[in-house]
Amino acid sequence: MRPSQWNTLVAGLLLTPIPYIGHAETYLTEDQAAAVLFPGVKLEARWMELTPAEIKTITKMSGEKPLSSRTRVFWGPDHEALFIDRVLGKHEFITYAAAINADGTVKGIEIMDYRETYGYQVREAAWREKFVGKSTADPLQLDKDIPNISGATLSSKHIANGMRRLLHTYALLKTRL
Amino acid sequence: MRLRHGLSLLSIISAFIMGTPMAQADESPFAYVYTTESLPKGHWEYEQWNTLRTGKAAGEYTSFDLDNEFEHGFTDNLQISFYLHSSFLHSRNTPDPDELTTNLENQNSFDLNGVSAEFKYRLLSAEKDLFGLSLYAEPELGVRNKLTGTDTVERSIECKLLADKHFLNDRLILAANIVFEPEWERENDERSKELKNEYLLGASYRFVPHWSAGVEFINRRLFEDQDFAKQGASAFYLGPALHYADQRWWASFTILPQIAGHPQTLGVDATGNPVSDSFRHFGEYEKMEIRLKFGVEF
Repeated sequence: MRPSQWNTLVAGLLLTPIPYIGHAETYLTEDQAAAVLFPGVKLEARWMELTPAEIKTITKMSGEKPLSSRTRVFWGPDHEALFIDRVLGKHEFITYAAAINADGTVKGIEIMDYRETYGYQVREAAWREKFVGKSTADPLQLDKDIPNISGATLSSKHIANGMRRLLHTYALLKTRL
Repeated sequence: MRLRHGLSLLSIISAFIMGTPMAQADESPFAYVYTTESLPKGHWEYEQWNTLRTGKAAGEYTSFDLDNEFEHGFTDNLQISFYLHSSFLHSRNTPDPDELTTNLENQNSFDLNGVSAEFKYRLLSAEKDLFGLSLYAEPELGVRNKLTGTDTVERSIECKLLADKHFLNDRLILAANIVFEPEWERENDERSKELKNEYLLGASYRFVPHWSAGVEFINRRLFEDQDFAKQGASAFYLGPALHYADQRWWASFTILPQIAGHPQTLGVDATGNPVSDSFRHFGEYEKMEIRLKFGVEF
């Protein structure tokens, strides 16, 4: 190869991969998530503050420490609840909505924000349905009762851990009502 | 093939700064230490490694190593890559580490160093197993000695054992690599062989979304004739590492000054002056390395 060709090659390699600016993917707002998970149900939105003792209990029971003492909950008339929660993704937080029935089982989950490189399968219904019917009695662990998503192991693991934490949070907060 | 007057170091850096490209492959929070992560099946990534090696015991010595890599995930655990290695070398009045009484040829040139292929297979995932573990092999064919800039024919295979462990909800990553790289070289009809051996450690913490900071440590060793009884040079590097990652690209930046090395005294140069340092080795290795590595998924 002639020097001029090397020059072109190197310049091309340096300049070709122009930065691809990542953009936030917001799929659902809080109201939209509520409408999807509890259609036709009138929900009351509240911020609830977890006490240090409650945080300690949730951490002990679920194995996951809440990221914040403030919890966003939409309560239904029969004490069913919709949690707006977030867990760590590889690069950013993943925001999701978790619907919990009055008997403490999972009604469904919806991914509200996802901005990771891989693992958009966490939004697919087939994967999210694996959570339906789970309760505090279930392990909610990757490769046990929740399947791993290749390329997004960290995201799927953290969502499963987050759901386990929310089920225990629900059980505790319900006693306040 | 040599570009003596084609590309200057400045133009390369300028082109890099102005057109910063990025890729997202087996993203690592480190510029030197490998993690066990691999590209998911079917994905492609471009990585560019920009390494500045500078400073010898005497004379002027700076090398800007430019390595381009294309990666592909063949399965979720097997990743294969192709590398194009090149460097811009500036040396002036620098004693040849193999023959101190003569200097390296003064040069200011950009050239291709060689090509290589990387095979990385993950056995355990740090994100769901107790720790991560991967095997790595990289056969390389070299046409230019990266240290001296002389034409050569070099064959090598870099073998690595990679391990990592995640803590604190996957925000803290500890990683360790062991590297053995036998090399066979033919230069001016003279044949030689050596073994490169490295131990790398890294710790990185994601302190806010997108950003991680940490440290990297490397011990590099050289064994002549691929004989463990004939240890030549050894050098220790320690420095800070900074990492940024977004949805489609990431970058890792590390500064590694040499903090200790052996042997410190190499001998005397052509003028009878000693070629030495009080605590570092400057024959095979340099005073400082700085690497900016970035990746872009495509």
